[in-house]
Amino acid sequence: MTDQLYKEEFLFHFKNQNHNRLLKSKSHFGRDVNTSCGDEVLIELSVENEIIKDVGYVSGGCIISTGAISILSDFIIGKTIEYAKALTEDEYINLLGIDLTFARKKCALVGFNALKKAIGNNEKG
Amino acid sequence: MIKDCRSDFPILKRCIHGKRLAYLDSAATSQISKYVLDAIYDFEVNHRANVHRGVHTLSEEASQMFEDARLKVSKFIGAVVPREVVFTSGCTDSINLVAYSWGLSNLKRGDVVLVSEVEHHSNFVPWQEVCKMTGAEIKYISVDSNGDLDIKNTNVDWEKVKLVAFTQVSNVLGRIIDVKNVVKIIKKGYPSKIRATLMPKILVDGSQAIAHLPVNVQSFGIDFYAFSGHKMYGPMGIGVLWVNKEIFDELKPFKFGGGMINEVTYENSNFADMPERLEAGTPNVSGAIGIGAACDYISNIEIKNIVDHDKSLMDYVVSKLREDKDVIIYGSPNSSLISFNVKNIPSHDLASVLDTCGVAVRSGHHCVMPWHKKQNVTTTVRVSFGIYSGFDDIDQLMEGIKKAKGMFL
Repeated sequence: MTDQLYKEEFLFHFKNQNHNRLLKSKSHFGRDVNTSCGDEVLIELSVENEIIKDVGYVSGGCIISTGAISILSDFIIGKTIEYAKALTEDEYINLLGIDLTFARKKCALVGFNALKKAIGNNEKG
Repeated sequence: MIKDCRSDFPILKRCIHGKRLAYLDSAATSQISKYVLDAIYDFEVNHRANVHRGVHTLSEEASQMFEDARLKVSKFIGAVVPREVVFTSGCTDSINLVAYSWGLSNLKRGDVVLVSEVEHHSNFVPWQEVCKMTGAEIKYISVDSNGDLDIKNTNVDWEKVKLVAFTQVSNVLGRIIDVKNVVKIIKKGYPSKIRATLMPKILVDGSQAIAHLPVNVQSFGIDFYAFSGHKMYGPMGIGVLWVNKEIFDELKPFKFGGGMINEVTYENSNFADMPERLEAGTPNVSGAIGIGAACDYISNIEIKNIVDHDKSLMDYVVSKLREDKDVIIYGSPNSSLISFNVKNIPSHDLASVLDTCGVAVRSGHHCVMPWHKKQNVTTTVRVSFGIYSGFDDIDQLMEGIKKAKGMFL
Protein backbone atom coordinates (compact mmCIF):
# COMPACT_ATOMS: atom_id res chain seq x y z
CA MET A 1 0.00 0.00 0.00
CA THR A 2 2.88 2.40 0.75
CA ASP A 3 4.19 1.55 -2.71
CA GLN A 4 0.96 2.92 -4.16
CA LEU A 5 1.10 6.06 -2.03
CA TYR A 6 4.78 6.90 -2.20
CA LYS A 7 5.54 5.90 -5.80
CA GLU A 8 9.06 6.50 -7.05
CA GLU A 9 7.99 9.19 -9.49
CA PHE A 10 6.02 10.98 -6.78
CA LEU A 11 8.94 10.87 -4.35
CA PHE A 12 11.15 12.24 -7.11
CA HIS A 13 8.92 15.31 -7.21
CA PHE A 14 9.12 15.66 -3.42
CA LYS A 15 12.90 15.51 -3.51
CA ASN A 16 13.37 17.64 -6.67
CA GLN A 17 10.96 20.52 -6.63
CA ASN A 18 11.52 22.56 -9.78
CA HIS A 19 9.24 25.44 -8.99
CA ASN A 20 9.84 25.77 -5.27
CA ARG A 21 10.55 29.51 -5.20
CA LEU A 22 8.66 32.77 -5.37
CA LEU A 23 8.39 34.59 -8.71
CA LYS A 24 10.07 37.91 -9.45
CA SER A 25 6.93 39.04 -11.18
CA LYS A 26 3.58 37.46 -10.44
CA SER A 27 0.09 38.23 -11.70
CA HIS A 28 -1.87 35.85 -9.48
CA PHE A 29 -1.33 34.31 -6.04
CA GLY A 30 -3.23 32.00 -3.71
CA ARG A 31 -2.72 30.22 -0.38
CA ASP A 32 -4.35 27.24 1.25
CA VAL A 33 -3.80 25.32 4.47
CA ASN A 34 -4.76 21.93 5.82
CA THR A 35 -4.89 22.45 9.56
CA SER A 36 -5.03 18.75 10.37
CA CYS A 37 -1.42 18.22 9.34
CA GLY A 38 -0.12 21.73 8.98
CA ASP A 39 0.25 21.66 5.18
CA GLU A 40 0.46 25.09 3.68
CA VAL A 41 0.98 26.09 0.06
CA LEU A 42 1.49 29.60 -1.30
CA ILE A 43 1.36 29.60 -5.10
CA GLU A 44 2.17 32.38 -7.55
CA LEU A 45 1.37 32.52 -11.25
CA SER A 46 2.75 34.63 -14.05
CA VAL A 47 0.02 34.89 -16.68
CA GLU A 48 0.40 36.55 -20.07
CA ASN A 49 -2.34 36.62 -22.68
CA GLU A 50 -4.39 34.18 -20.58
CA ILE A 51 -1.55 31.63 -20.64
CA ILE A 52 0.23 30.50 -17.46
CA LYS A 53 3.85 31.26 -18.31
CA ASP A 54 5.42 30.42 -14.95
CA VAL A 55 4.54 29.05 -11.52
CA GLY A 56 6.30 29.44 -8.20
CA TYR A 57 5.33 28.09 -4.81
CA VAL A 58 6.38 27.74 -1.21
CA SER A 59 5.22 24.58 0.47
CA GLY A 60 5.43 23.68 4.13
CA GLY A 61 3.96 20.37 5.06
CA CYS A 62 3.90 16.69 4.37
CA ILE A 63 5.38 14.72 1.52
CA ILE A 64 2.02 14.25 -0.17
CA SER A 65 1.15 17.94 -0.27
CA THR A 66 4.65 18.94 -1.36
CA GLY A 67 4.99 16.28 -4.08
CA ALA A 68 1.51 17.10 -5.35
CA ILE A 69 2.13 20.84 -5.78
CA SER A 70 5.36 20.08 -7.63
CA ILE A 71 3.51 17.82 -10.10
CA LEU A 72 0.71 20.35 -10.48
CA SER A 73 3.17 23.17 -11.19
CA ASP A 74 4.92 21.21 -13.92
CA PHE A 75 1.57 20.32 -15.43
CA ILE A 76 -0.09 23.70 -15.40
CA ILE A 77 2.70 25.74 -17.05
CA GLY A 78 1.72 26.48 -20.65
CA LYS A 79 -1.98 25.89 -20.02
CA THR A 80 -4.57 28.63 -20.28
CA ILE A 81 -6.33 30.18 -17.30
CA GLU A 82 -9.57 28.76 -18.68
CA TYR A 83 -8.03 25.28 -18.61
CA ALA A 84 -6.88 25.75 -15.01
CA LYS A 85 -10.33 26.99 -14.06
CA ALA A 86 -11.96 23.92 -15.59
CA LEU A 87 -9.52 21.41 -14.05
CA THR A 88 -11.55 19.18 -11.73
CA GLU A 89 -10.53 17.59 -8.45
CA ASP A 90 -10.78 14.11 -9.98
CA GLU A 91 -8.61 15.05 -12.96
CA TYR A 92 -6.04 16.48 -10.57
CA ILE A 93 -6.02 13.36 -8.37
CA ASN A 94 -5.58 11.19 -11.49
CA LEU A 95 -2.68 13.37 -12.52
CA LEU A 96 -0.86 12.59 -9.25
CA GLY A 97 -0.96 8.88 -10.02
CA ILE A 98 -1.08 7.72 -6.41
CA ASP A 99 -3.75 5.97 -4.32
CA LEU A 100 -4.98 8.43 -1.72
CA THR A 101 -6.99 7.57 1.38
CA PHE A 102 -9.70 9.96 2.59
CA ALA A 103 -7.37 11.69 5.05
CA ARG A 104 -4.41 11.94 2.69
CA LYS A 105 -6.58 13.35 -0.10
CA LYS A 106 -6.90 16.49 2.05
CA CYS A 107 -3.10 16.80 2.02
CA ALA A 108 -2.96 16.47 -1.75
CA LEU A 109 -5.69 19.02 -2.30
CA VAL A 110 -3.90 21.91 -0.57
CA GLY A 111 -1.93 22.82 -3.72
CA PHE A 112 -4.99 22.39 -5.93
CA ASN A 113 -7.06 24.65 -3.68
CA ALA A 114 -4.26 27.24 -3.63
CA LEU A 115 -4.21 27.23 -7.44
CA LYS A 116 -7.98 27.72 -7.61
CA LYS A 117 -7.71 30.63 -5.18
CA ALA A 118 -4.87 32.12 -7.25
CA ILE A 119 -6.98 32.07 -10.40
CA GLY A 120 -9.57 34.17 -8.62
CA ASN A 121 -6.92 36.44 -7.10
CA ASN A 122 -5.52 38.44 -9.99
CA GLU A 123 -3.14 41.13 -8.71
CA LYS A 124 -3.77 43.23 -11.76
CA GLY A 125 -7.48 43.03 -11.23
CA MET B 1 2.13 -6.53 34.06
CA ILE B 2 -1.55 -7.07 33.44
CA LYS B 3 -2.61 -10.61 32.69
CA ASP B 4 -3.12 -10.75 28.94
CA CYS B 5 -6.53 -9.26 28.26
CA ARG B 6 -6.29 -9.03 24.48
CA SER B 7 -9.00 -11.66 24.08
CA ASP B 8 -11.41 -9.12 25.67
CA PHE B 9 -10.94 -6.93 22.58
CA PRO B 10 -12.01 -8.83 19.45
CA ILE B 11 -10.81 -6.06 17.10
CA LEU B 12 -7.21 -6.84 18.01
CA LYS B 13 -7.48 -10.05 15.98
CA ARG B 14 -7.70 -7.95 12.82
CA CYS B 15 -4.86 -7.75 10.34
CA ILE B 16 -4.13 -4.39 8.73
CA HIS B 17 -2.40 -4.52 5.34
CA GLY B 18 -1.56 -8.15 6.10
CA LYS B 19 0.14 -7.30 9.40
CA ARG B 20 -0.99 -7.88 12.98
CA LEU B 21 -2.69 -4.79 14.37
CA ALA B 22 -0.55 -2.84 16.81
CA TYR B 23 -3.12 -0.38 18.11
CA LEU B 24 -1.23 2.54 19.64
CA ASP B 25 -3.94 5.21 19.46
CA SER B 26 -5.85 4.61 22.69
CA ALA B 27 -5.56 8.28 23.68
CA ALA B 28 -7.81 9.13 20.72
CA THR B 29 -10.14 6.27 21.48
CA SER B 30 -9.55 3.02 23.28
CA GLN B 31 -10.95 -0.19 21.94
CA ILE B 32 -14.16 -1.43 23.53
CA SER B 33 -14.12 -4.35 25.95
CA LYS B 34 -16.24 -7.41 25.19
CA TYR B 35 -17.47 -7.14 28.78
CA VAL B 36 -18.91 -3.71 27.94
CA LEU B 37 -20.39 -4.93 24.66
CA ASP B 38 -22.14 -7.77 26.51
CA ALA B 39 -23.67 -5.32 28.99
CA ILE B 40 -24.96 -3.09 26.17
CA TYR B 41 -26.25 -6.11 24.27
CA ASP B 42 -28.11 -7.35 27.34
CA PHE B 43 -29.82 -3.98 27.76
CA GLU B 44 -30.74 -3.60 24.11
CA VAL B 45 -32.01 -7.16 23.72
CA ASN B 46 -33.65 -7.82 27.09
CA HIS B 47 -34.50 -4.54 28.83
CA ARG B 48 -34.74 -1.68 26.30
CA ALA B 49 -37.27 0.99 27.25
CA ASN B 50 -37.23 4.67 28.06
CA VAL B 51 -36.17 5.60 31.58
CA HIS B 52 -38.05 7.41 34.34
CA ARG B 53 -41.18 7.60 32.19
CA GLY B 54 -43.10 4.35 32.46
CA VAL B 55 -44.49 2.08 35.14
CA HIS B 56 -44.27 -1.02 33.01
CA THR B 57 -41.68 -3.68 33.77
CA LEU B 58 -39.23 -2.85 30.98
CA SER B 59 -39.18 0.83 31.88
CA GLU B 60 -38.63 -0.01 35.55
CA GLU B 61 -35.77 -2.34 34.61
CA ALA B 62 -34.20 0.22 32.25
CA SER B 63 -34.48 2.96 34.89
CA GLN B 64 -32.88 0.72 37.50
CA MET B 65 -30.01 -0.20 35.14
CA PHE B 66 -29.48 3.46 34.23
CA GLU B 67 -29.28 4.51 37.88
CA ASP B 68 -27.09 1.50 38.72
CA ALA B 69 -24.70 2.75 36.05
CA ARG B 70 -24.67 6.18 37.71
CA LEU B 71 -23.89 4.50 41.03
CA LYS B 72 -21.02 2.51 39.49
CA VAL B 73 -19.50 5.66 37.98
CA SER B 74 -19.89 7.58 41.23
CA LYS B 75 -18.09 4.86 43.19
CA PHE B 76 -15.40 4.57 40.52
CA ILE B 77 -14.46 8.26 40.81
CA GLY B 78 -15.10 8.62 44.55
CA ALA B 79 -18.14 10.91 44.33
CA VAL B 80 -19.97 11.72 47.55
CA VAL B 81 -23.37 10.78 46.10
CA PRO B 82 -24.50 9.42 42.70
CA ARG B 83 -26.45 12.67 42.13
CA GLU B 84 -23.10 14.36 41.47
CA VAL B 85 -22.73 12.31 38.28
CA VAL B 86 -24.28 13.88 35.17
CA PHE B 87 -24.35 11.83 31.99
CA THR B 88 -23.31 13.73 28.87
CA SER B 89 -22.34 12.79 25.34
CA GLY B 90 -18.61 12.99 26.10
CA CYS B 91 -15.92 15.08 27.72
CA THR B 92 -16.38 17.98 25.26
CA ASP B 93 -20.08 18.02 26.07
CA SER B 94 -19.29 17.93 29.81
CA ILE B 95 -17.03 20.96 29.60
CA ASN B 96 -19.49 22.85 27.40
CA LEU B 97 -22.14 22.05 29.99
CA VAL B 98 -20.05 23.76 32.68
CA ALA B 99 -19.31 26.67 30.34
CA TYR B 100 -23.00 27.25 29.64
CA SER B 101 -24.69 26.11 32.86
CA TRP B 102 -22.20 27.64 35.22
CA GLY B 103 -20.11 30.04 33.12
CA LEU B 104 -22.85 32.09 31.49
CA SER B 105 -24.56 32.89 34.76
CA ASN B 106 -21.47 33.29 36.96
CA LEU B 107 -18.90 35.08 34.80
CA LYS B 108 -18.87 38.80 34.09
CA ARG B 109 -16.61 41.55 32.80
CA GLY B 110 -13.48 41.82 34.96
CA ASP B 111 -13.45 38.10 35.84
CA VAL B 112 -10.67 35.82 34.69
CA VAL B 113 -10.82 32.23 33.46
CA LEU B 114 -7.46 30.55 33.79
CA VAL B 115 -6.57 27.55 31.64
CA SER B 116 -3.29 25.80 30.98
CA GLU B 117 -1.63 26.52 27.65
CA VAL B 118 -1.54 22.84 26.74
CA GLU B 119 -5.26 22.14 27.01
CA HIS B 120 -7.11 20.12 24.42
CA HIS B 121 -9.35 22.41 22.34
CA SER B 122 -12.31 20.96 24.27
CA ASN B 123 -11.07 22.61 27.48
CA PHE B 124 -10.04 25.78 25.74
CA VAL B 125 -12.48 26.84 23.00
CA PRO B 126 -15.61 26.69 25.25
CA TRP B 127 -13.88 29.10 27.66
CA GLN B 128 -12.73 31.35 24.85
CA GLU B 129 -16.34 31.55 23.62
CA VAL B 130 -17.99 32.00 27.03
CA CYS B 131 -15.47 34.75 27.82
CA LYS B 132 -16.50 36.52 24.61
CA MET B 133 -20.16 36.26 25.65
CA THR B 134 -19.70 37.41 29.25
CA GLY B 135 -16.84 39.90 28.90
CA ALA B 136 -14.59 37.81 31.15
CA GLU B 137 -10.96 37.40 30.18
CA ILE B 138 -9.13 34.15 29.42
CA LYS B 139 -5.56 33.80 30.69
CA TYR B 140 -3.05 31.00 30.59
CA ILE B 141 -0.99 28.92 32.97
CA SER B 142 2.34 28.27 31.31
CA VAL B 143 3.73 24.78 31.01
CA ASP B 144 7.43 24.04 31.54
CA SER B 145 9.62 21.91 29.29
CA ASN B 146 8.66 18.73 31.15
CA GLY B 147 4.96 19.42 30.75
CA ASP B 148 4.29 20.50 34.35
CA LEU B 149 2.04 23.47 35.09
CA ASP B 150 4.05 26.46 36.22
CA ILE B 151 1.24 27.75 38.37
CA LYS B 152 3.48 29.43 40.94
CA ASN B 153 4.73 31.87 38.31
CA THR B 154 1.35 32.56 36.78
CA ASN B 155 1.04 36.29 36.52
CA VAL B 156 -2.59 36.92 37.37
CA ASP B 157 -4.67 38.84 39.86
CA TRP B 158 -5.96 35.82 41.76
CA GLU B 159 -8.86 37.72 43.25
CA LYS B 160 -10.30 38.04 39.75
CA VAL B 161 -9.93 34.37 38.85
CA LYS B 162 -13.32 32.67 38.86
CA LEU B 163 -12.41 29.39 37.23
CA VAL B 164 -9.24 27.37 36.76
CA ALA B 165 -9.39 24.57 34.16
CA PHE B 166 -6.63 22.09 33.45
CA THR B 167 -6.07 18.56 32.32
CA GLN B 168 -4.96 15.76 34.64
CA VAL B 169 -2.81 14.29 31.86
CA SER B 170 -1.84 16.29 28.77
CA ASN B 171 -2.96 14.58 25.59
CA VAL B 172 0.20 15.80 23.84
CA LEU B 173 2.92 15.77 26.47
CA GLY B 174 1.69 12.75 28.39
CA ARG B 175 2.67 14.38 31.66
CA ILE B 176 0.69 13.59 34.81
CA ILE B 177 -0.40 16.73 36.64
CA ASP B 178 -0.54 16.35 40.40
CA VAL B 179 -4.08 17.68 40.80
CA LYS B 180 -3.98 17.85 44.61
CA ASN B 181 -0.78 19.84 44.55
CA VAL B 182 -2.04 22.31 41.93
CA VAL B 183 -5.25 22.81 43.91
CA LYS B 184 -3.20 23.35 47.07
CA ILE B 185 -1.12 26.05 45.36
CA ILE B 186 -4.22 27.77 43.96
CA LYS B 187 -5.96 27.85 47.33
CA LYS B 188 -2.84 28.85 49.23
CA GLY B 189 -2.32 31.75 46.87
CA TYR B 190 -5.49 33.38 48.07
CA PRO B 191 -5.25 36.01 50.76
CA SER B 192 -6.95 34.89 53.93
CA LYS B 193 -9.34 37.82 53.69
CA ILE B 194 -11.04 36.16 50.75
CA ARG B 195 -13.86 33.98 51.88
CA ALA B 196 -13.90 30.36 50.80
CA THR B 197 -16.99 30.97 48.71
CA LEU B 198 -15.02 33.35 46.50
CA MET B 199 -12.36 30.78 45.68
CA PRO B 200 -12.28 29.99 41.98
CA LYS B 201 -14.06 26.92 40.76
CA ILE B 202 -11.68 24.23 39.56
CA LEU B 203 -12.38 21.99 36.58
CA VAL B 204 -10.21 19.02 35.72
CA ASP B 205 -10.28 17.29 32.33
CA GLY B 206 -9.83 13.62 33.17
CA SER B 207 -9.99 12.26 29.60
CA GLN B 208 -6.49 10.83 29.54
CA ALA B 209 -6.44 9.87 33.20
CA ILE B 210 -9.69 8.04 33.86
CA ALA B 211 -8.52 4.66 32.51
CA HIS B 212 -4.95 5.02 33.71
CA LEU B 213 -4.69 6.66 37.13
CA PRO B 214 -6.48 6.51 40.46
CA VAL B 215 -9.19 9.15 40.50
CA ASN B 216 -10.87 10.34 43.68
CA VAL B 217 -12.72 13.57 43.03
CA GLN B 218 -13.35 14.22 46.71
CA SER B 219 -9.67 14.08 47.58
CA PHE B 220 -8.78 16.42 44.69
CA GLY B 221 -10.64 19.36 46.26
CA ILE B 222 -12.15 20.40 42.92
CA ASP B 223 -15.60 21.34 41.59
CA PHE B 224 -15.91 19.67 38.19
CA TYR B 225 -14.37 16.54 36.67
CA ALA B 226 -15.05 15.59 33.05
CA PHE B 227 -14.30 12.47 31.01
CA SER B 228 -15.50 10.29 28.12
CA GLY B 229 -16.57 6.65 27.96
CA HIS B 230 -14.74 5.85 24.75
CA LYS B 231 -11.30 6.43 26.26
CA MET B 232 -11.95 3.89 29.03
CA TYR B 233 -12.89 0.78 27.00
CA GLY B 234 -16.50 1.94 26.89
CA PRO B 235 -18.77 3.17 24.10
CA MET B 236 -18.60 6.41 22.13
CA GLY B 237 -21.29 9.04 22.68
CA ILE B 238 -21.33 8.87 26.47
CA GLY B 239 -19.42 10.96 28.98
CA VAL B 240 -19.60 12.19 32.52
CA LEU B 241 -19.55 15.51 34.27
CA TRP B 242 -19.00 15.19 37.99
CA VAL B 243 -20.22 18.24 39.89
CA ASN B 244 -19.34 18.85 43.53
CA LYS B 245 -22.70 18.82 45.34
CA GLU B 246 -21.72 21.92 47.31
CA ILE B 247 -22.20 24.01 44.16
CA PHE B 248 -25.35 22.42 42.72
CA ASP B 249 -27.22 25.70 43.19
CA GLU B 250 -24.78 27.58 40.98
CA LEU B 251 -25.69 25.55 37.88
CA LYS B 252 -28.58 26.67 35.74
CA PRO B 253 -30.30 24.34 33.28
CA PHE B 254 -28.78 24.69 29.83
CA LYS B 255 -30.93 22.39 27.72
CA PHE B 256 -34.66 22.42 28.23
CA GLY B 257 -37.31 19.82 27.55
CA GLY B 258 -38.51 16.49 28.87
CA GLY B 259 -36.89 14.76 31.82
CA MET B 260 -35.47 17.95 33.38
CA ILE B 261 -38.65 19.53 34.74
CA ASN B 262 -40.68 19.31 37.91
CA GLU B 263 -43.82 21.03 36.81
CA VAL B 264 -44.84 22.74 33.58
CA THR B 265 -47.77 25.08 33.06
CA TYR B 266 -48.67 27.29 30.10
CA GLU B 267 -47.21 30.19 32.03
CA ASN B 268 -44.02 28.77 33.48
CA SER B 269 -41.88 25.75 34.31
CA ASN B 270 -39.76 24.75 37.24
CA PHE B 271 -36.94 22.35 37.05
CA ALA B 272 -35.92 19.01 38.53
CA ASP B 273 -33.05 18.59 40.96
CA MET B 274 -29.57 17.48 40.00
CA PRO B 275 -28.62 15.58 37.97
CA GLU B 276 -31.86 15.42 35.95
CA ARG B 277 -31.97 19.20 35.54
CA LEU B 278 -28.88 18.90 33.34
CA GLU B 279 -30.01 15.79 31.45
CA ALA B 280 -32.86 17.02 29.24
CA GLY B 281 -34.35 14.56 26.77
CA THR B 282 -34.05 10.80 26.54
CA PRO B 283 -30.58 9.95 27.80
CA ASN B 284 -28.09 7.62 26.16
CA VAL B 285 -29.17 4.70 28.33
CA SER B 286 -27.14 1.98 26.62
CA GLY B 287 -24.13 4.31 26.70
CA ALA B 288 -24.58 4.88 30.43
CA ILE B 289 -24.85 1.14 31.02
CA GLY B 290 -21.73 0.74 28.88
CA ILE B 291 -19.71 3.28 30.86
CA GLY B 292 -20.88 1.65 34.08
CA ALA B 293 -19.65 -1.70 32.77
CA ALA B 294 -16.36 -0.07 31.76
CA CYS B 295 -15.91 1.11 35.36
CA ASP B 296 -16.46 -2.47 36.55
CA TYR B 297 -14.05 -3.78 33.93
CA ILE B 298 -11.24 -1.41 34.97
CA SER B 299 -11.95 -1.99 38.67
CA ASN B 300 -11.58 -5.74 38.17
CA ILE B 301 -8.19 -5.26 36.53
CA GLU B 302 -7.28 -2.75 39.27
CA ILE B 303 -5.87 0.67 38.55
CA LYS B 304 -2.60 -0.06 40.38
CA ASN B 305 -1.89 -2.83 37.86
CA ILE B 306 -2.65 -0.46 35.00
CA VAL B 307 -0.27 2.15 36.44
CA ASP B 308 2.53 -0.47 36.54
CA HIS B 309 1.68 -1.64 33.03
CA ASP B 310 1.80 1.90 31.62
CA LYS B 311 5.10 2.58 33.34
CA SER B 312 6.77 -0.53 31.87
CA LEU B 313 5.56 0.36 28.39
CA MET B 314 6.58 4.01 28.74
CA ASP B 315 10.08 3.07 29.95
CA TYR B 316 10.40 0.67 27.02
CA VAL B 317 9.19 3.03 24.30
CA VAL B 318 11.31 5.92 25.61
CA SER B 319 14.43 3.73 25.68
CA LYS B 320 13.76 2.47 22.13
CA LEU B 321 13.03 5.93 20.71
CA ARG B 322 16.11 7.38 22.39
CA GLU B 323 18.29 4.84 20.59
CA ASP B 324 17.38 6.68 17.37
CA LYS B 325 19.24 9.98 17.10
CA ASP B 326 16.70 11.28 14.58
CA VAL B 327 13.83 11.06 17.06
CA ILE B 328 12.78 14.16 19.00
CA ILE B 329 10.60 13.48 22.07
CA TYR B 330 8.45 16.34 23.39
CA GLY B 331 8.31 16.90 27.16
CA SER B 332 8.93 14.22 29.78
CA PRO B 333 5.98 11.85 29.48
CA ASN B 334 5.21 9.68 32.48
CA SER B 335 1.73 8.37 31.72
CA SER B 336 0.40 6.34 28.81
CA LEU B 337 1.20 8.52 25.79
CA ILE B 338 4.21 10.07 24.13
CA SER B 339 4.60 12.57 21.27
CA PHE B 340 7.61 12.72 19.01
CA ASN B 341 8.87 13.45 15.52
CA VAL B 342 11.47 11.82 13.32
CA LYS B 343 13.66 14.54 11.79
CA ASN B 344 12.73 15.38 8.20
CA ILE B 345 9.74 13.03 8.09
CA PRO B 346 6.40 14.86 8.38
CA SER B 347 4.14 13.25 10.97
CA HIS B 348 1.36 12.28 8.54
CA ASP B 349 3.84 10.53 6.26
CA LEU B 350 5.36 8.61 9.14
CA ALA B 351 1.85 7.63 10.28
CA SER B 352 0.95 6.48 6.75
CA VAL B 353 4.01 4.24 6.57
CA LEU B 354 3.35 2.91 10.08
CA ASP B 355 -0.19 2.08 8.99
CA THR B 356 1.19 -0.14 6.25
CA CYS B 357 3.10 -1.97 8.99
CA GLY B 358 -0.14 -2.53 10.94
CA VAL B 359 0.72 0.19 13.47
CA ALA B 360 -2.06 2.67 14.32
CA VAL B 361 -0.78 5.97 15.72
CA ARG B 362 -2.11 9.51 15.72
CA SER B 363 -0.44 12.27 13.73
CA GLY B 364 -1.33 15.95 13.65
CA HIS B 365 -1.81 18.62 16.28
CA HIS B 366 -4.00 16.40 18.52
CA CYS B 367 -6.46 19.27 19.02
CA VAL B 368 -3.81 21.40 20.73
CA MET B 369 -2.93 23.89 17.99
CA PRO B 370 -1.82 26.85 20.16
CA TRP B 371 0.83 24.77 21.99
CA HIS B 372 2.22 23.37 18.72
CA LYS B 373 2.44 26.87 17.28
CA LYS B 374 4.24 28.13 20.39
CA GLN B 375 6.80 25.31 20.11
CA ASN B 376 7.19 26.06 16.41
CA VAL B 377 6.26 22.46 15.70
CA THR B 378 3.61 21.95 13.05
CA THR B 379 2.53 18.50 14.09
CA THR B 380 3.71 15.46 16.01
CA VAL B 381 3.25 11.70 16.05
CA ARG B 382 1.59 10.35 19.20
CA VAL B 383 1.82 6.82 20.52
CA SER B 384 -0.59 5.87 23.29
CA PHE B 385 -1.23 2.66 25.20
CA GLY B 386 -4.19 0.72 26.49
CA ILE B 387 -4.33 -2.27 28.81
CA TYR B 388 -4.00 -4.51 25.75
CA SER B 389 -0.77 -2.88 24.55
CA GLY B 390 2.50 -4.76 24.83
CA PHE B 391 6.21 -4.64 24.09
CA ASP B 392 5.50 -6.40 20.77
CA ASP B 393 3.44 -3.36 19.66
CA ILE B 394 6.38 -1.08 20.40
CA ASP B 395 8.79 -3.38 18.54
CA GLN B 396 6.43 -3.21 15.55
CA LEU B 397 6.42 0.59 15.85
CA MET B 398 10.21 0.70 15.78
CA GLU B 399 10.30 -1.53 12.70
CA GLY B 400 7.88 0.87 11.01
CA ILE B 401 10.02 3.89 11.86
CA LYS B 402 13.01 2.08 10.35
CA LYS B 403 11.04 1.42 7.18
CA ALA B 404 9.94 5.07 6.89
CA LYS B 405 13.50 6.28 7.32
CA GLY B 406 14.61 3.92 4.58
CA MET B 407 11.98 5.34 2.26
CA PHE B 408 12.30 9.06 2.93
CA LEU B 409 15.78 9.82 4.31
